[in-house]
Amino acid sequence: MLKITVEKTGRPVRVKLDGSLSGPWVAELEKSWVGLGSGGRKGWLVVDLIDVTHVDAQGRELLRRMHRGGAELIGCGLMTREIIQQIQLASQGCEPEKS
Amino acid sequence: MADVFAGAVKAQPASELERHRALLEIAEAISVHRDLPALFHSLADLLHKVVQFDAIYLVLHDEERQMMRLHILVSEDDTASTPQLELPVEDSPGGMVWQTQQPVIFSGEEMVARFPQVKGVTSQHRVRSVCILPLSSAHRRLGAIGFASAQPEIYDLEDVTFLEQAARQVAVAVDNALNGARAQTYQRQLARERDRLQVLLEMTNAVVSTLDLRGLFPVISACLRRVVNHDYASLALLDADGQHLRLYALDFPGGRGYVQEQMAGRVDEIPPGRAVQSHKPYVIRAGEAGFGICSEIASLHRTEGLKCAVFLPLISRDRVLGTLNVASRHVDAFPAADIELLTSAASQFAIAVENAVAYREIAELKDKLAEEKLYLEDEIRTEYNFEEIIGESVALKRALKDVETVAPTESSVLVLGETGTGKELIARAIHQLSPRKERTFVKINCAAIPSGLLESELFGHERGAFTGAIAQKVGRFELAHHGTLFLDEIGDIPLELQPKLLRVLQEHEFERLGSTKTTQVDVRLVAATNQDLARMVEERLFRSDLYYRLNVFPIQVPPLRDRASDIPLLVRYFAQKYARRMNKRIETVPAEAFEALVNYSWPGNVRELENLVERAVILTQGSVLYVPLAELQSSGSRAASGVGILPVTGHGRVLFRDSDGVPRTPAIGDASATVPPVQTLEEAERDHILRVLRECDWVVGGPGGAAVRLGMKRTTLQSKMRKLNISRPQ
Repeated sequence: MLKITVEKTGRPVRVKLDGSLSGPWVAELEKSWVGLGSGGRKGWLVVDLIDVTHVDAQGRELLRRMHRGGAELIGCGLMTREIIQQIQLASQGCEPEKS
Repeated sequence: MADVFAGAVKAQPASELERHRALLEIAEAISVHRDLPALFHSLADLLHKVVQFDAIYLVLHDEERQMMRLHILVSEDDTASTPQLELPVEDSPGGMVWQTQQPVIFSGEEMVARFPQVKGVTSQHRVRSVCILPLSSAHRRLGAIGFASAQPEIYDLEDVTFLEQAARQVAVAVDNALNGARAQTYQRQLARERDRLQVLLEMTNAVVSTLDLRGLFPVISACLRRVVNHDYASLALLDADGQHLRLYALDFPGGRGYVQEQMAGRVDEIPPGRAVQSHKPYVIRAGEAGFGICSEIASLHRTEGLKCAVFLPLISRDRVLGTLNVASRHVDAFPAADIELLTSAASQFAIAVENAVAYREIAELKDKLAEEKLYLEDEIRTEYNFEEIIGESVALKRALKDVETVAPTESSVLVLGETGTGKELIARAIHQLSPRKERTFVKINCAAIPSGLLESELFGHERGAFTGAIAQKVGRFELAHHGTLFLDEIGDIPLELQPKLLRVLQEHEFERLGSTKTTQVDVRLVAATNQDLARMVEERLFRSDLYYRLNVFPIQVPPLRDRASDIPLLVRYFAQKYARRMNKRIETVPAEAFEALVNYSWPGNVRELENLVERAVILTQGSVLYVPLAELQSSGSRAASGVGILPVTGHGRVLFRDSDGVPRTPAIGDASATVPPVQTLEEAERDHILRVLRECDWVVGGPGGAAVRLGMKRTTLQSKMRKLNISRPQ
């Protein structure tokens, strides 16, 4: 189960995720993301992963694409931070550091 | 007529021939006329030729009321009438003739003197001579026929003889006519009865064919309208409190909208409430006491112009469910026969109402159960989400690939793996990826249920099947119908139960304990064990046929030590999970802690890792995860000293025993790291129990016994000894 909350009132646009980003909810998030259009510049969209409990492989791939499209990923917790870190390093062309 | 009578002169007597001819003509008239007034009119014409009279009349005996009723009077002015004159038998001249069956001749004065109550009609017609003859058929005495004249002493014996012959013929005609009228009455009654029974039958058919009260009510109302004219029909049901009646359904085509469904009133304040309280139909009419009852609903009904209403209690099994209400805009709308029919209809309708109410309750409960099931399934998915099987190691991916391969099929699956490796998650993943995922996943742990109860748990039992079977129980196989049944710890299923399990797997049928009825089920089985079933088969501890039936598609879940690369992922996942739960903020895990965790053997596999991380999160004060590594070392020492029940095996990253028994982590490629032969859990357990028993000199119970040292109950140890085939040497 994943709850997707989109806040478009200000800048940047904020997408808050609660729950598990996995299975059919990956497509749901993608639909929401596509619906927002393309902001064009980096940081137009913030994806809040603070209350995400799990991200599967497809979820990670979507986050990676969203990051490439200019989304900023924020989150806390060991697992989430590790995922964000790996996505950021991959986008910089670096191999993720083994912790 | 009186003037005519007064001026009449006695005619010449008729000849014998004329009278015989008249009798023949009477016979012909009887065959032509079925209607009594027409017949008497014709008789008057015919008899005038041979007998003198100014009026002819028919008096009939009313058997029920013992009265003589003047039925037809044909007078001189050629008119036939049915006057309303009734007299008791003893007060009527016709009654006297009916009783004596003898003809009489009266003068007007004599008759009035003897029967004063006929004075009026006698005076009206100025009667001075009367001849009255009994009217009787072969079967019964019908009454009398009278001939009256305004002339005195006009009838003699010759007239009486002739009129007796005529009366006998007329009696047959009157009897036929009366029988015909009675037959018509019966026919009308039967037709009415048939129509009413037809209506009741149609109502019954409607009642049994639908459980939707709102849809049923117009049908019932239309049926009733065919035999009971009404403008309004409604169904009121008692609320749960039993104090209010609520209009549930309404059929009021000509209504102006004042009365509407869902209107409610207190039972003790509205007219239908009286039917509820008395358990009897209650009728009110305009102008009668009770019609002007002061309640809003009653007032609205009056505003609609309803002037007569019948309220019929709907009673089923001595319980009042509500009322059937029928009303009309006419005051005298419902005679007793209608109320009788409506009462019968209400009895039928009450059954429908009870069934519909019960059906509605069942449907509501069913919906509630379905919602609860959805909720619980969601809870289970949240708790055991196979999509959250964490890991990217080759060994895990291989197992998951097997899951994807076998899940869409109907094959039984045997999940093999050490304790704590996540066999149940694999079983749930198979279910979730199968076509049965919308149905139930039922789990049973064969080792957790006393062997004596396992059969009942699996197959269910009937009430009274054994002492303590106080109610019927549905077994797990039935619960899992069209779904998946997960039999955990299948190796612990008793030998005597195995044939029944094999039968249900092969034949898809079984009988509940205490039942002779065979139940068919469609269940997919996923079994799991951490025991070596093949070896158990060799040792005759497990049936070979069942083993082969289960072992169609084995999936080996790798132990954590074989997927050490997944350990960091798992640690992060569990740490975040428990940190969130405990509202802690943990940012990092020390590198040395990761190294120690990766290098540990994890005999308890993922479950042990999860427990350790949970403890670590509890112990952590700051943002750096504090892992109690000493616990790992002591576990390792226990394993090295042989106390741990699991052997330490490995693939380069696990702990090995030194020559002095101290655990150490060999480096990859360490030539000194020789791998000891793999021992099964069961073998290790057997060896350990044997060693403790020897040390205790085979004393099982008591303070210094092996059971205490092994930390288990004496009976548990004895059970294990039997299971592991351990016995004291002779």
